[in-house]
Amino acid sequence: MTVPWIRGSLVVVVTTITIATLKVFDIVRTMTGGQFETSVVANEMYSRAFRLGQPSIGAALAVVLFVMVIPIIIYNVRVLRQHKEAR
Amino acid sequence: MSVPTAPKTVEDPDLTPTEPKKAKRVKTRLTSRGATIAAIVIATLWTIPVFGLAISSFRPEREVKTTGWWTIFENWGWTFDNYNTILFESGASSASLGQYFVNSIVIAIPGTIFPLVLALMAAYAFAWIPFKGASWMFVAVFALQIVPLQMALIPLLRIFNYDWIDISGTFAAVWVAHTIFGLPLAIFLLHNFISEIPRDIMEAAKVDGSSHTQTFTKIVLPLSLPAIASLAIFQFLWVWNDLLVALVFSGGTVRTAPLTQRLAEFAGDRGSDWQLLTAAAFVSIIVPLIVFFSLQRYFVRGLLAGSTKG
Repeated sequence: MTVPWIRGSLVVVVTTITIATLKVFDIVRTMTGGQFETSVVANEMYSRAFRLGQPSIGAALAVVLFVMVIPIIIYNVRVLRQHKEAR
Repeated sequence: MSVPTAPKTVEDPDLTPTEPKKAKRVKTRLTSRGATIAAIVIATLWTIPVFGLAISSFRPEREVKTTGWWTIFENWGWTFDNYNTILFESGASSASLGQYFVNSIVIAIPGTIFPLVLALMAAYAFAWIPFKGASWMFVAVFALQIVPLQMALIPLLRIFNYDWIDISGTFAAVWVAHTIFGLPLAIFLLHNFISEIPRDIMEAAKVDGSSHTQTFTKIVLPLSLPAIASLAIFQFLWVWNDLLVALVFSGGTVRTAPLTQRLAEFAGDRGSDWQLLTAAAFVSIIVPLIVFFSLQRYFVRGLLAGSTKG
């Protein structure tokens, strides 16, 4: 009974955390710096673009990150539209 | 955190007895004994490391390196030396966190005020001034919340390096970056709040001959203070804890770099000096802790007001 009732909040929280986790950077950089095969897209993007002098690869990684969140953007915009129509 | 026998409905303004039974039932479920125990367990697990960090930062170097913080009673000993060393001692390999602490404040306060002011005006315009293209522009702002800020790092840095702008490596660059990255969420949350202001009030103001500026400053601003407060706290904490924007835009010198950046460097340089690292970490979390605990009422309430309504 509880879950359907708070479904709206659940969706908001899950999408927000999903996105935040996809973009995680500071923890990875501080703990391992991406060594030992623990690098993630956001950390790799920073290292390539601003430390290794490969801005083109960094830009490509940023686009990869963007492509990964596009489904969430589309879903959220559809929910927003539905809310507006319901009003 | 209350057991189900406690009558919570009276003091909670959100849930008067006239509201549907369903809400009450959900409320009881969420405040049931199991949920309370789970919350306490999670909170404890979360707090223990911070607690250990705090204790370790006050222990002498030898004790920190040879015994765990949980043996503090057997190996008694407290000192402020660690804080003295990292905050005030100057020298080539010292942390001199005092200066970086000031930098963090200089970054975080405008980094909170700029986006809030702009977002308030934008939210008012979206909510109460009909203009062409408002709806698709709002959808665009809404979608921008989710776009990773990594997308903007390289282009923004290049713009900051143009001859006629040339602010890269200054406070201004960090302020502008934080303002840009904070705006979408701020506009969205404030819009949700401001558009809920009853139409009657706005029309009454209009009938009385109030201009948009007057309506904004005399009606919208005071009414949306709870939302502004919660958003200000949220943005302040975000800017204070941020590492990525600082690394890219601050230039990393002692004149502009914030605490987080110095802390990350310090963990690399002096990785074996645990007594200094714990103290430095505690210096950097003390401000968020103070802000959160003194203002958490606004934080929780305001964010809930905005988040679940489209």
